[in-house]
Amino acid sequence: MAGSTFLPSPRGDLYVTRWLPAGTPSASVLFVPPFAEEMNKCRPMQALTARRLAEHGVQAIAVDLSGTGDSAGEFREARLEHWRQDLALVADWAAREGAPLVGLVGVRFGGLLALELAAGVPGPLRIALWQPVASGQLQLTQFLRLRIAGGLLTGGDRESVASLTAELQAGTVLEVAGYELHPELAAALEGLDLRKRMPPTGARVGWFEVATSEQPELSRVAADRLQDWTAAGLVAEGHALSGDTFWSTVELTTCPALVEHTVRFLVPAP
Amino acid sequence: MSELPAVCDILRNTLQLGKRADAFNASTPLLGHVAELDSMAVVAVLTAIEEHYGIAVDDGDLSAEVFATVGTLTIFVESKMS
Repeated sequence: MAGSTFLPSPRGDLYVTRWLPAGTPSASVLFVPPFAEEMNKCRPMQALTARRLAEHGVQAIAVDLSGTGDSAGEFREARLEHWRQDLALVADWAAREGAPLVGLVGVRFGGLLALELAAGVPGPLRIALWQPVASGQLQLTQFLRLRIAGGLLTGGDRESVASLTAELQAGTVLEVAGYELHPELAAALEGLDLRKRMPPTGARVGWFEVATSEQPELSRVAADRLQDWTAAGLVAEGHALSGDTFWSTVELTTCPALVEHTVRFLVPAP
Repeated sequence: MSELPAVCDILRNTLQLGKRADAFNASTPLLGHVAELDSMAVVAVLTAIEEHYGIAVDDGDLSAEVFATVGTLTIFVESKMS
């Protein structure tokens, strides 16, 4: 059963969705959302996964970060530091509600924030990363490219990631695909990188990728990160699944295999 | 050209070429020869490359020459990896 609630925060109300199991939840899992429009594309997958988790007695929680979705604030007011605080606030609320946080699902860009959150939450945590974005710079570049798309190789005076970055550095708020990107948020994104973020000791990480090919293989970046994390003594596993790339398809799609593998990873059979 | 197989796979999957990509080699012409490769597809291929390697590509680095052949694209990718 899904319900929503508003949590007070320094920026106003945070919109939180909660999927409750039939009885008292034994544990909580928190979804850390992707960036901008991907949030909307990933909602069906979050809901499907949350309902499956509820079947296992686990409560699932999703939050609209400040300035996004139904939470207070405008996107141009959103800052990375606000988002960090929002997540810590929700994680704290979930724990106080009586169902300890046992897992995180970092959806795309959310993976970067999930790893940061994990460092400040009592563990051990199971951290599922769905098609993680390797760095804030990559997220920013792809976001800016939404504005550039279409005129890429047609020469002449056209925008580029470099020219838009220069505008941001000059203090311009950029309009991208209906979102107003503030230079401070853009600058903060550049500091996020999976290569610079080790999951906390004791955490178990599941890196999930989805591709449409019948025999998908993990990306190079996944293989590199998993190798480094395993070498550092962490339990880290990679899953390359076949299905629709739901975070980017034009029509809303889902990947049932990802739902099943994620739930199996987060709630191991006794 | 160590990344040639990976680049061919990215092209195959992004452009949904299927078995047509089996015959790809370094000298296979791309832009202007593969009908699926319009400007939106170029963006999709770039995105797929970025996601596979975890790198960010500046469009300023791009030119029609990068997408001339499978080989030129592979050389471009390899230069971005270091």
